[in-house]
Amino acid sequence: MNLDQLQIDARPRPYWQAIDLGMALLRRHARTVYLSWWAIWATLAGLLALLTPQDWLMWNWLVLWWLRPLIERSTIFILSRAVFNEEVGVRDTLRAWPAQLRLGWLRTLTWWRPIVIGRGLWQPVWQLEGARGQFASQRRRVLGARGAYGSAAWYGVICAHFEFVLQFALISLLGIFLSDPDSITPFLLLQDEFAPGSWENHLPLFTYLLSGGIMGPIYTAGCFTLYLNRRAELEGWDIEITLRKLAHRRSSQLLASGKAAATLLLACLCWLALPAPEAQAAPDCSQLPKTNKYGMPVRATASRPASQGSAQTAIRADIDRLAAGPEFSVWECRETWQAKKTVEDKEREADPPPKWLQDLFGDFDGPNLPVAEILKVTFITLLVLLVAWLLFRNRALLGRLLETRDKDPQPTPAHEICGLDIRPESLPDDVPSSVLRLWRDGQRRAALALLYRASLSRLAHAQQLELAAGFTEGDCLAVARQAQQRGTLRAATLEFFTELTRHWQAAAYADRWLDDERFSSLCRSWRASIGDER
Amino acid sequence: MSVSPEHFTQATEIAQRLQAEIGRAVVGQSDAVRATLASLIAGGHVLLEGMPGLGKTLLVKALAKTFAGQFARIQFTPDLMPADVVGHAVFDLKNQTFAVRKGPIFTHLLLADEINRAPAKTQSALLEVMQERQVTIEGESHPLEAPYMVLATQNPIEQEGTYPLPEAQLDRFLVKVMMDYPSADEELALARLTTQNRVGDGLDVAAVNTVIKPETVVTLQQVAAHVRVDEQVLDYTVRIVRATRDWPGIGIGAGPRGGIALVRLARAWALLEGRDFVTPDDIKHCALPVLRHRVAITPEAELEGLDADRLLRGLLEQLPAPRA
Repeated sequence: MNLDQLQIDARPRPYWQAIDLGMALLRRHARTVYLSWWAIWATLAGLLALLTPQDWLMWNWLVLWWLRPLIERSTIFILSRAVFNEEVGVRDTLRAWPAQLRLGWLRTLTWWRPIVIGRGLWQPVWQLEGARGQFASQRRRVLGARGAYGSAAWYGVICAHFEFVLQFALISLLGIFLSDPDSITPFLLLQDEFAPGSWENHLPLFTYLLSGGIMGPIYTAGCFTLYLNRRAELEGWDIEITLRKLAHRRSSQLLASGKAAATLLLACLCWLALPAPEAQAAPDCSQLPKTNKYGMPVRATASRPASQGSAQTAIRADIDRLAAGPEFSVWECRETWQAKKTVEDKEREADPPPKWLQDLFGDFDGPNLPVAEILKVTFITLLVLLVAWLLFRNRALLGRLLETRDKDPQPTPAHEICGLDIRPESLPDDVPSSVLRLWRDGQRRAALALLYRASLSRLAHAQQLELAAGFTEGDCLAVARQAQQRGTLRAATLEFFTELTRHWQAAAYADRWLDDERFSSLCRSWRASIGDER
Repeated sequence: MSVSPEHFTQATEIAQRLQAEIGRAVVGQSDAVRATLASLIAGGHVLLEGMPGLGKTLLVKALAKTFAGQFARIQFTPDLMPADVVGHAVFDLKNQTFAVRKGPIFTHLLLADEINRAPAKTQSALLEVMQERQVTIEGESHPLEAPYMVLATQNPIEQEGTYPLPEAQLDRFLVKVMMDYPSADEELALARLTTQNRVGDGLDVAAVNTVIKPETVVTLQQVAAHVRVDEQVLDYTVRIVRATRDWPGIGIGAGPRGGIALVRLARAWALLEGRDFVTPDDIKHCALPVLRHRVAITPEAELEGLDADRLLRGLLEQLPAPRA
């Protein structure tokens, strides 16, 4: 990369200016860029239109959209050379395009990269820098930092909207012309479903071809100059270029004067030979007074007055022995690098947070704040409570849903129909005798009720008729009729049950009773008709 | 009026003959025919709902012919005014007086076609007459001749530009009858009947014989009013109506008028069944047509795809039948 050849003013710009620079670049090389783009783009679209099965025609534009990152590489190829004053033609681009894909085309199309809307910023990392793996990830992170990725993503969002508007407008325009003259609707082509083989099935692909063909290079060019801007910012291209220019100017002068060159060389050497500022500031250990940690001089051998007696001599010996010990005689000079304290650090030190806050948050600089843990647990608890509350609030709805699911199978046999207990164990052993006894005792209602419920019990338990609790007499009769039609119930049984139901209804709801003889005959025929069904 | 068992037998015979005569013109739709006839006997009005071309007009014409009743039809439109329905007074220049010109409402059977197409003002005029059974024009009351019955139709599709009847006014109709598409056999018979040796597709009620006079219908109504309703059956009716008020999925339940209407229709139904007493089965049969337009289902139930019929069926299945 020769920065001297750079055709753009490489300086750190606001990101929107950088994107605008891309537009300017694209305007200058529009012919080559668009022709190259369309040559590949239209070919792919044509192939898709031909190869897609009829049923999937409405969706083949998604394949084109998926392949778009590959076509973007042709634009990057042209523009990356154009910024270094290297003109490439359409033919060169098309010839070079397969080679441009070689670098990580699979990774570009897989994982989530095609749907990453700010991928335009990263494309040159794979294509131009040839970065792979961990290094590529680092490069993407560095390039995307300081809001660069955000700008690329928002730019992508704007371009996607323009694309959508173009696509929609095209469909609407066609819709207006194809509408019935009496009811013109721009939504005609959006509403209708078209017959297989109809040209309208190709509309999504066609409109995406046009909108993507217009907006694709615009997006790519904007992202490319954003990438260049970020690199200029990171690598100080402007400084390098200025220095190069200065160096060039100087060198031309120095070449004329060897003395000046020698002076510059000397100056450089002097500069290199100078110690680092920190090193210069650091005191030399040998120059420092040798004191122990109590500030007392080590090995104090200063002249002492003569001892005044043996006691004093003994004391001095003790002092010397102690002073020679590790506690007083060790002298250390340690040289370390230490980060300078920022103003904020100093302020923080000067004004520490209250103790309760420190207790709550722990170490502010620590990686895991206790409060984060507390918040995490709190949020999870709140989420669980929210779900529980929603379930509780919609319990009626859930109940109904479960109910309808349960209701679909056949209803469970009831123990009670029309208020009558129909469990076999609730019936006497000899039903007709018990019924007649009740009848003779004047308990006509009880007698008829017993006969009716005994019949129901036999039908429900012996004949396995499915009788539900909400069934009326008519419902029970209808179920019996269905069973007879299926052949699971004898005709005589049904006939008897029909007659009994009629009498029961007349007695229960109209207080109309059958005579003794008729009742006796009903009891007699009960055993033959239903009573033997066990 | 004292009603003997013979009266009940005769009334049942007449009602069943009326049903059979209507069946000569209307192929299929037996439930709708039965509910409409029961409503006539119960002295109520009917709201018919169904897709176009299912024989709603034919049913009304056939019913009118069975008892030699007058029949009128009003096609409700957005510009229909109350005076177009009930009539108005015009100044007679010759006699220098106001003469009343009666509207089409003065008839025995009135078919109010697509009632929800007319604005609320016109709907209210009709619904008021249905309730009062008399029309007031220029301060003068004109009673309607009995039997009087309004059959209003609603189209479940094409809701654009319609004025749906408010819940309170829907309550004036005794029943709401749903007319569904006929079965394959019925449709085949219908196609055969209406196209064989026939010109045009006009509705033909020539096959329908007149069985009774309009006055007999009034007698039938009186007999039906004497059909016995046991306390337990009455209790069952009230329990059904009250259950609609707090049944899951039903937002607004039926009012006491719903219970009254249910008993009225069940009496006529029992008469059609050949009984002089009402059984819980009659109540259960009548519950859907009587209650389906008197309840409003909740939006949640509506979103689940449930409708009033399904909810009411669930209610009837689960509500215990009367304890005899």
